This record gives sequence, C-alpha cells and structure tokens, in this order.
Amino acid sequence: MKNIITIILSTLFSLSVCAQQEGDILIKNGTVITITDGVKEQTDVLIRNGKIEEIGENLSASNVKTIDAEGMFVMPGIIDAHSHIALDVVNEATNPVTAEVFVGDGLDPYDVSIYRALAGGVTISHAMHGSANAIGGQCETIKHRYGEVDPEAIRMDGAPRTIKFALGENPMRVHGEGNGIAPATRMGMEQIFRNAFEEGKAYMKAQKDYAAGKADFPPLYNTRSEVMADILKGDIIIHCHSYRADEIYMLLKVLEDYGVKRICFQHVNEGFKVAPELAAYGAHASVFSDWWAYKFEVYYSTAYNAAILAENGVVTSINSDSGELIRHLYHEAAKTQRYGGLSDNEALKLITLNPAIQLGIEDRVGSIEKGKEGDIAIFKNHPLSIYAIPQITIVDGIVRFDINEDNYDMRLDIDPDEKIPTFYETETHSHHGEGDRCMQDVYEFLNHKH
Amino acid sequence: MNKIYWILVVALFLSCELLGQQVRKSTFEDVLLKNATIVTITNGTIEGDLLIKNGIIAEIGTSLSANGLSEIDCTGKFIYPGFIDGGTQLGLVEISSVSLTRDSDELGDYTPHMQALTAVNPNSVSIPVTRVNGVTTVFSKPTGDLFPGTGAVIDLHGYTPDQMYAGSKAVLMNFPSTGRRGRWDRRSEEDITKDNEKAMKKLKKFWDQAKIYSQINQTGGDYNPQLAAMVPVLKGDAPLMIEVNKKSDILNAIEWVNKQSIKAIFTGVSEGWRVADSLAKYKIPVITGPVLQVPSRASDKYDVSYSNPGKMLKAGVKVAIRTNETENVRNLPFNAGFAAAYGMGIDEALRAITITPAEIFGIADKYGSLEKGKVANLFVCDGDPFETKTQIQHLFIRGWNVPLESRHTLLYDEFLERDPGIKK
Amino acid sequence: MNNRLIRLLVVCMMPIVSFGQVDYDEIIKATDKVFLKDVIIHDKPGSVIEYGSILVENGMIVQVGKKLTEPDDALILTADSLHVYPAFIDALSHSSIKKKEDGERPKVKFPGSPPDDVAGITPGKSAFDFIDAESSDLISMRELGFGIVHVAPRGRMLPGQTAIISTSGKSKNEILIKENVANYAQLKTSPGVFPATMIGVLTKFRELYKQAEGANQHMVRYSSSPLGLQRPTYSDAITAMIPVTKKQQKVFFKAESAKDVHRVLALKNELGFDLVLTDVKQVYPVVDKVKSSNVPVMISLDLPDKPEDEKKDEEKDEEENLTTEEMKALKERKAKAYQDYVGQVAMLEKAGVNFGFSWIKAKPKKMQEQMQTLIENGLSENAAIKGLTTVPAQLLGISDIAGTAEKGKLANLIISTAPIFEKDSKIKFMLVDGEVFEYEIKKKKKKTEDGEAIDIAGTYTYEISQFGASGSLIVSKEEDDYKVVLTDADDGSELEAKNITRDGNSMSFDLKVEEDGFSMDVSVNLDFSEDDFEGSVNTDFGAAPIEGSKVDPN
Repeated sequence: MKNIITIILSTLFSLSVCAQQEGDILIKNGTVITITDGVKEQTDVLIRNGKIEEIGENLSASNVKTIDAEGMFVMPGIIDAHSHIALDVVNEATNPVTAEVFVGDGLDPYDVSIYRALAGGVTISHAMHGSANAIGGQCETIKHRYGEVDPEAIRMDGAPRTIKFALGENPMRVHGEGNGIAPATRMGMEQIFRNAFEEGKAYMKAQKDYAAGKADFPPLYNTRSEVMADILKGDIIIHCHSYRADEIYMLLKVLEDYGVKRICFQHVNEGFKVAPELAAYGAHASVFSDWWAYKFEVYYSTAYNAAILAENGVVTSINSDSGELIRHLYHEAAKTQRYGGLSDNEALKLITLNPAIQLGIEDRVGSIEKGKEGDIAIFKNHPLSIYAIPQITIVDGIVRFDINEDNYDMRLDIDPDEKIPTFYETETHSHHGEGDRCMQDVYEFLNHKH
Repeated sequence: MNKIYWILVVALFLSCELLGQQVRKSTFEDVLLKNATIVTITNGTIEGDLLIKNGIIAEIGTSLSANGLSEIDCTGKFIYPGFIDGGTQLGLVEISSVSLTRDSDELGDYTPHMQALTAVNPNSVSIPVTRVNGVTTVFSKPTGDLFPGTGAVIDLHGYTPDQMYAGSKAVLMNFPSTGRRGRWDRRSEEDITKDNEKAMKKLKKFWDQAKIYSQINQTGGDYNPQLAAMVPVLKGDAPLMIEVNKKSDILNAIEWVNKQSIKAIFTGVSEGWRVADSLAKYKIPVITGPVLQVPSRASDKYDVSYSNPGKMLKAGVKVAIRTNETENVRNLPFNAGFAAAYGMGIDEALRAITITPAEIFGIADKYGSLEKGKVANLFVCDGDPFETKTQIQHLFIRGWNVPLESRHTLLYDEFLERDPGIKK
Repeated sequence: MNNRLIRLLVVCMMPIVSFGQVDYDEIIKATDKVFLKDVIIHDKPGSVIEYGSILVENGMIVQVGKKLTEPDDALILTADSLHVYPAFIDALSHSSIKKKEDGERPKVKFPGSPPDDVAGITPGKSAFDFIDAESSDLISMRELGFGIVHVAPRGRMLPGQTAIISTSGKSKNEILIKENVANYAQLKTSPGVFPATMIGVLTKFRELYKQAEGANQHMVRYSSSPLGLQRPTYSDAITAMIPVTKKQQKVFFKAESAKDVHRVLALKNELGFDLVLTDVKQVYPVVDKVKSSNVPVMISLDLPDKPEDEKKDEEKDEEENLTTEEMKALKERKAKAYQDYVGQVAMLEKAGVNFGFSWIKAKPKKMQEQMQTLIENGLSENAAIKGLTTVPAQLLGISDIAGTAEKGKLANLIISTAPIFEKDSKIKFMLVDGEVFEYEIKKKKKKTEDGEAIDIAGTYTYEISQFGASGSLIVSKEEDDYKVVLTDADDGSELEAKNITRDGNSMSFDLKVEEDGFSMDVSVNLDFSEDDFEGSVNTDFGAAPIEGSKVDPN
C-alpha cells in the first residue's frame, strides 16, 4: 500500500516540463491481436522509446522491462472517439455558435476517470466540447498518461484539430426553448451553419484582400471566424453530435455546398437510415453500442446501427460519451456481435483503428504495427468475452495501469482539508438529465437565465 | 415548450398504435425441445429434452417423446430459465426525457399506494427489446421520494397488466441518504446532516401512522389508501424494498429494520461490500446493481461495482442482480457476466438473475429455474448466455413461443440493405 | 452601550470635510520628526544594524546609522532594544475596495454577446475609483505590519487597473502612491453570459490581446498619417489592453490551483505578456515549470489545517464509511499533502523563484503564525521578509521609495518586540509615511492545552474601546445550549445574544441593537482563553475589537 502511494507521489514530483513520457517494454508470448495483420499466437512485442520496434517470436532486448503475457491477449490501446473525461469545462452554452472556445484550455489531468478508462484498456480519448450549441468548441485528443499533472502532458501532440457540432434537441432546447433565440427548429439549425460558414468566408476574403494590398488593415482579429475559416480550409475535422436521419442528411448537404470533406457524425443513432449517403460522402460514424429511447430523437434507433453502418462501408466506431462506458468499450464493441454478427476483427476495429481514422491519427495508433506508438492493452480472456479483464495498459511504452498494482485511492491530488472522499448516489439514468456530461455546465447556465 | 411536449405526446400515441403491427404475434403451443444442454440452475445441467405443456414445464428428461407435439431440435444448444431483473422501470417510462411519458414518479413524499401495475404499458417498445435478450421477467417499480409506491413482478408478455403480473408485489422505500445526489449537489456537510434528520423524522412520522392504522383498521376505518398500502408490509405479507447505498446509511437501515417486524429487502447497496458481514448476520436479502456503474467515491477502487455482488455473496448475503434500467434492461445478462468475472463466478451470477430473485420475491415455486411444474419462461441459445456474442434462438414466456423480434431487429431487417439505396 | 454605539458609528460615517480653516477638533502635531533610538535595525534583507538609530522627517527616512545625534525637536520613541523592519508591502489584495452591490444582473437578449461590463471585461477601470479610504481593511493591514497595499478592483475576468496606496489613514488623495500600475486578470466566469466558462475566459483573453495588437498598429499608423485611413474606433476594453501587449504593463493573473498555474503560464507563453502569477494557493506540483518560465509567484497564504487535529472525526468516519486500510492510506496522503502545502514556499526559495505574498482570497490575519509554520518547514526568514518587502517593491516599481529601511525611503517601519517571525513577537509601533501608530501589547495569556475545551461559562467584563462601550457579559450554559447576555455599564440596558455557536474555544453570536427606531445587526466573534477573551464586533459600518476578562467569582 505504502509503496503505491510513494510511487504515485514520486511520479507527482517528477512531473514538470520534462517528465518522461516514452518508455521501453518487451511483452512476451502473448496472443497478439494486430487488427491490421491478423492474430499472432505466442508472439512478442518490443517497444522502444515509446514506439513499437518489433513484433515477432522470441524477441529479446536488454535493459528493458519485460511483461510475461503468456495466455494473455495483447491488443492495441483502445481509442474512444467521444468522451468528456479529463475536462474541467464541457459546454460554453451561451451562444449557438462557439467555435472560438477550445476544451483543450480546460484539461484536467487529475481526473480519476482517466485511470478508470486505463483500467478498461483505453489509451486515447477524444475530449469533446458538449452538445449545447450548433457549433460547439474545439476538442482535444488526449493520451491517458495518468500520473502526469501538467495539462500539456496529456495532449496528443500532432493530432489533427477537431471541433464539435451538434444537431437536434440539445441545441434546440438550450437556445430555442431555453433562451428564446434561434435555433428552435431543425430548419433554424441549418441556417446557423450556413451563416457561420459565410462569416468564415467573409473573414478569409478580408484577410486575402489585405494580403493582396487591397485593404489598409487586416480584419479585426476574430477567433470564431479564424476557426470557421480553418474548417473551410480543411484543417479541422468536424465531429457532429446527431441523431435523426433528416438532420444528418441536412448537414451533409451544407458541407457539400461549402466544400468541407472531413466529417464524423457522433452518436448518429439514425445513421443506419442514411448509411448509403454517409458512405458515399466519405463521412464517418461514431456510435453508441445500444443507447436509445432516453429522448424522443433516439426512439427510433436500433442496436444494429453499428453493424448496418459497417456493412454499408461507413468507417464506424463505438464510443462512450460516458465515464462509465469508457471503462468497458471492449464489451460495448462485442455487442455488435450480438446485434449484427460482426467478426472479432471487425468488432475490435470499432474501438481501435476506426476511431483512430476518425481522429486522423491512424498512421500513429490503432493497430499493432512496427513504427506505431506503443499503446497497448493486455487482457486476461479475449477482449470481446464478457469475462475479459484488462491486466496492463501501456501508453507510449509506459505502464499506466497494472491490475497488480491497483489499490485504493488512485487520485493524484487530494485536499488535505478533505474529510473523507464524498459518496455519490448513482442517478437512475446516467445518460441524460443532470448527469449527462454532454450537457454539463448547461443547467448552470440556464439556471442563471431564469 | 408545452407545444413541443404535446407534439411529442401525439406522436407517441400514433406510434403506439403502429407498434402492435410491428412485432409478430406469439403462439401458444405445446412443444418439445429436443437434445439440449439444459441448465436447470437448481438441479445441475442435464443433456436431454424439455417439454412445455399448457404454459408450464411438463417434463425434463432424456429421450422424451413428442407424441405428435411440435418439436424443436436443440442439438448443440442450451436451455436456460428466463432471466429475472430485480429492479427496473420497464413499462413505466417510455422516453425518460419526455416527462409526460414518464409514469414512474408521482408527486409527494408518501405515495406507497401508487401501483406500478396500473401504469405498466404492455405495449412499451422496450418490452420486446428486452425479452429477446432472454430477460423474461422484471420487477417494475416506481421511483421518487420517501415511499414512491408499490412495484410488481411482471412477465414480459401479455396485453394487459393482469396478463403480465407474476404474482409478487413489494412496497418501495428510499432510505434517507447522507450521500450526495450528483456533482451538482453542493450542499454543505451540515445541510446534508440536517436534511437527513428531517427525512428520518418524516419516515418515523409516517411509519407510526401506518402502524396505528394497521392496528385499528382491523374492523374497518376511514378510506385511507396511503396508509392502507402499508398494511401488507406491516403484517409481513409483502416485503418492504429499501433503496440504500452508502455504508453508514446501510448500517442505519439495518438498525431501523431490526426494530420493525417486517420482511425487508435492500436494493442498490452499492457499498454492500463494506458491510457484507452485517447484511449476512441479519439475513437481509439484497438486490444490487447496476453492476456496470462508476464507483461511488473518487477514492474507490475502479472495480468496486463489478466486485460488489461477489463480495457480498462470499460473506453469506443472498444476492440478486438488477439493472435499474428502463430501455436497456436487456443488459441484465452482461451485468451478471461482469459480476461473474469479478469474483462472483458464473454459477452464482446465474443464480443472481434466476432463482435468487425468485426466492426474494417469494415466487420460487413457479419461477427461477427449469423444473417440472414451473412456469415455462425459458430461452434456447447457442452458447453461454452471459457472453456478448451469444445468440438467442427461441424464447418462451408462460409457454408462449415469442418471436425474436423488436423494433431493433425490424429496423435492421429494413435498413441493412436499404432499397432504394443511394439513387433516387 | 446601545445608544452610544450607534451615535459613535453615525459620527464615524460622516465625511471629514476640510474647509481650509483652522479646525480645533483636530490636533496640530507637535513635530514632524521621529527619532528611533537604540533599536535593532533590519534595514534590508540579510542586513542588521545592532543598536542603531533612525531619524524620520516629513514622512521619510533621513538618517539610519549607529551613532546618530539625537535631535532635540523630534518625537523620541522609546523603542529601546526593539526590532525595526521595513513595513510590509502587500503584493495584491482588495483591501479598501468597495464591494459591489448585488443588484439584478441586466437582462441580455443574446447571452453570447453581452456588453463588456456585464461580461466582466473592464480592463480600463481604475481601482482608485473604488477605494474607500475609511475602510477598516487599511487599519487592519497596518496593524499586521503593512505600510503599502497594492489593490485591484473586484470583478470577474478583467476587473481593471490596480493602484498602490498607503495605509497611513489619511485622505483618499493623500494615500494614493501610484495609479494604473498593472492589469488584474482572473479565470473568473460571468454567469449566464459569455464567457460563462473558464475556457471562454481564456479564449476571450487571447482575442482581446490580439485585437489590442491590431488596434495598436492601426492607431500608430493613423497618428502618423491619417490621410485616407479609417479612423480607429476600438472599445475601451481593447484600448486598455494595449499597454499589456506592449509590455508596458504587467498582468497580475490570479491562479489558485496548480492546474490554473499551468493554464495561465500557457497563455503567457503563447502571447508573451509580462505575467505575475497571483494568489497561488497550490504551487508545489509546478515549482520547476514556474522556475523555468521565470515568472514571479505571489503566494496566497491559506494553509490547510494540520491533519492530526481531527483525529476524533477520523475514527468516526472510519467506523461509518471507510475501511481501516483506506483510512490509513488516506491519512498518509493527507499528511503528505499537508507537508506539500507548508513546504512549497521553501521549495520556491530553493528553486530560486521570485516570490511574494498576495491577499486576494486569504486574509493576512494569521500571517505571523503561518509564516512561522513556513519557516519551520524550511523557508528562510530572510526569504520571507524579502517576499513581504523587496520582492513586491521591485515588481511594483517602487523600490526607490519602499521595501527597505534605508535613507531616502518612505518612513514605513515595523517596530516589534522581537525578531518579527519569532513566536510571541508583537508589533509595538507602526510608522507609515512617518505617522506613528502605537499598539498595546497584551500580557501573555495562560495557554490552554491544545484541543482541550475550556469552560467558558461565567461573568466577564467587556470593553469595545473604539465605541467607548463597556459593561458585563454573562455566559451561561443550559444543557448543550449557551446563553449570552450583555449589560451596558452606562445605562444598564441588557441585550441577549442570538444564534450562538461554539467551536473549540471560540464563540460567535449575533446582537440586534435597537434605539429610537433605528436598529442594527451586529455579529460578535470571541476567542476565549482561561480567564479572558478577545475578538471582534462586526457591523455594516466596520469592525471593532472587543476584549474582556473574567470577573473573579469570589
């Protein structure tokens, strides 16, 4: 016990700017699920300087921490394309368009949810702005380097920029119903997007005019227009909270009009109804395994959504959007075998390579391949089995979760004046109402308005 | 705002009318299930046949003869008793964010006379979605304040509540909690203590009245449905189901229960592992869950909720598992599967969603295992029913051969290969 | 007590007006010279002049040294063998800044684009406009050793410009040392409108900064040749940020937690402004980063309670909620966390970080005790003094007039009975701008043992010297409830206390003073020791000390 505390606390002290974030590890004799190159029995994986150096039999390396994975399953670290963990702020709900804000400004490396996600084999998550606004804030792809307390240290450097869009009930409820301003309908929603893109275009033109000597001054700096312009330039991937087929179709048409290609629909419960259109556009889908019926716009859903989308050629992933589900995405992925009969590899792709593609990081993570980053999850029992138990989770060659070193109180920071850790009653429905992280900060905002 | 709700309500009515046509009718037939691996729960696992007659299990044995009845070949397949979820809002809530479709929570602190059976919607879209995963029976319960109402065990087949009622009811109570209700609950420690004292006083006041009523009402009295609903509990005819989760609250609840002569069942009990010995000592049965939930404290081990059922069981507590869900009660076998993996073991986890809840609800003579004479609630599947990929192939509820259809499968059938596809 | 208290308060509230004629209600001072003789002078950090003297004239130090001639026209302070320090400088606080009234927030149709003042973006406002020169804050800051306070307006994200003022107790214009010193910033949101979140605040800050850069370019070009150019029209907020972008003005940015420190440092690194991390409560996880960023840190002294003090509670918590193992682990971690907090300032010293102390959130009331704790945990006394004198002086650009007790500087001096952070050291005199303030040294009280609750029931005398009120105070106990009755010595009127609470050896209660239809709520806090008490009486008009001692029952 004491050891663990000392270890954690010593990590705490070694943090700082130059904290070590890449390690060397040799994983021996596991059943290696590569995702891109089949399943290899009795195979070793060598990670050096945080990168996968070799995959093969009877590898050896000196001065390297070795993990005996005999009888275990070794898979790529799981990637969650939709979460709100490790964030102090989720929603800046004051405006239907808040492209200017960036949840990466509010990262919380202390969040114990990161550790719990690691204990479910998840090494990367997409920390997203909430769904209060038609255009929410920019999001951040984070690596679960739990133990580091510098917010900078959990960013996945070099990952493409992403932004949250949202359709349907949430933005309509917050702005139309809550504040009496547009959008109150899905028709209004469309115009919000067109308007914002037009603003971005006008701003870009003003910048060009200045550069070409046609104007005396550049336009007054405007963060929102800068971001909208970057979306138009294709520098930012859109991740759009959506449910109904009609609204998904609407956004596809708007994006087509503005020449924006990179779009991943999130939740997209009725994506299955427009799967051919999504596939034709090259749009991606990141879905719940089985959430439905908690609000009207998800009443006509099916747990077969992921399977239908995948079969229709849409790059599909399973996400959590929840501090609970993120702990067992391997199980959520397995549900596509019950609902749609996906093969093991197809199912596991939904939580590894496919979310990596959706986040634009597939050349770095998402499979066990030479040269990719050393993000690995080791399981007892096959990860798609209900009896799977994550054993060790590695990020960049550093063990961030080890079931044998797990103990009480894995928090990184405690308040010395705290009496005992607070007990929270579970809410009956964790995926909506006050407990909905997707709508976090919104109720506070609305309460101030009334 | 109101307008939107009305539109939704109208839309719901319309959809309900359509629903009856969406899922095919079940058929009531006598049938022989041949050559299966029969997991009886109470009498081990038998390789053999199972005969359903008149809605009950007529026979289990080897080489049973069909005698002209229809026969289903189950070679290489398994038969399990239908799973029982010890706590849900199934049928009471259709779409939880649309308040007018939420019938689980009546206004008022003392509403034990609110009958779940009154508001359970036999045509809820969630019911077929649930049963096709092998969950045939659930306890559907009101939620809310101190005494939210009276819940009922129902089978997930039938067109009226009476057709669904499985013969057991329980009065619900939320034991006053000293925990926080969520991140948004910013009450001071003092306020929490004060609120708790206030709630305990309320509980005592109501309980005292109910006791008086139960004594003087022997010869008839004034119409008082609120207190009358408590009489079965006070007479020991119906159990009192007490929702309690935090360690100190559980200990207080045990102390409170010991002062009454009632049949108590604890539900939730997320910190049961901390007080498992006390629960065992006072022989209080527990319906715990969901197993798939985040730990209650930031300092808890990541797997406390996975391992809680197993820990309580090991200490000698009678443990059943629930989802506490509405539209996703279908995840009951997965909740049990996680409990099995994290210490409970497969056999015990199976009991926790079959015979144990049947015993707790007092219906073990008819439910919870595959035995001759019991209600024919069972399913045939191609593997371990906890395993996520396992497929259920036949489903019987009260002997009705229920088609494995639900909105989810129907949408799959329609949209897997949409026609027309991309073209106009 | 009742009527007099009210009368005195009403008088105190009346503005002091000078008509340029002789006012014999004011005492004309005998001399502007003060001579401190045979004192131990800690003239600057790390330097001591044993048994020297200081001559103060017209509010300034004119001579410091060993063998000074005693002038015959000076006030000679009998300060034999006392210790003299330069008075402290508060690196930032809201001392004397009026509180905003809690009015209804104006309704905004589009909460995404509120007016700047509703959004809390008022970087152009001056703290000076909000100063209440009569505020009791300045009196208590002086009593604690501060001669100069640096104050920021209250508000949200960008409340405005700071000001440096003296605690000399003079009129508003006389106490002002410097206006528009720095810009004050916080990660504080504006409820219901943008920025309603911390990420909104950071976005808005960046945007304003970049807009100010653009505005500056525009203005510079326009002022040199306006022909054919659009006239610059920028908001007050944008204009007020221009000095920050040109590094003509520092930003004192409040960052309470280590997380906030990271965020504010990232902002500084991105934009490049001159940053002073302010009111930092948790700095231990970021010492190295702060060090390498070369940013000064103003610590908020809000130390956690020592963990041992709650042993009984812990046992109860364990019994009720956690396991023994968990409690043990938690206890170890709490002890460690406590050590981190009390040791973090020493870590800053060791790392060579420039640090001082600010008092935005924490109040300096317990400063002496807290400094002792920090010193016990590795902080050098020298660094502590620096953090309270030369560091803020240098940051605020007032090193030429304050921060040390050297010739030519303002006569802002602390005269204490022992080295200032020694236990039981008491301030005997304060000199601020040459004005002498004398404090009564209370006799040492019999100390009760730690944690032992004393019986506070009994009859006491009380005195509120500021109001000229005195009388008797009777504390009695019935079962678990206390009863407190105050009797005025003058008119014998009785007042019974309400809302009595006792916490350890402290007691607080409320009084309702009524007179001629005029009523006033007064809250009283008392700290009891064996035979007497001291504390404060708080009213809407200000606070006053109260003390008393037990009447011998015999």
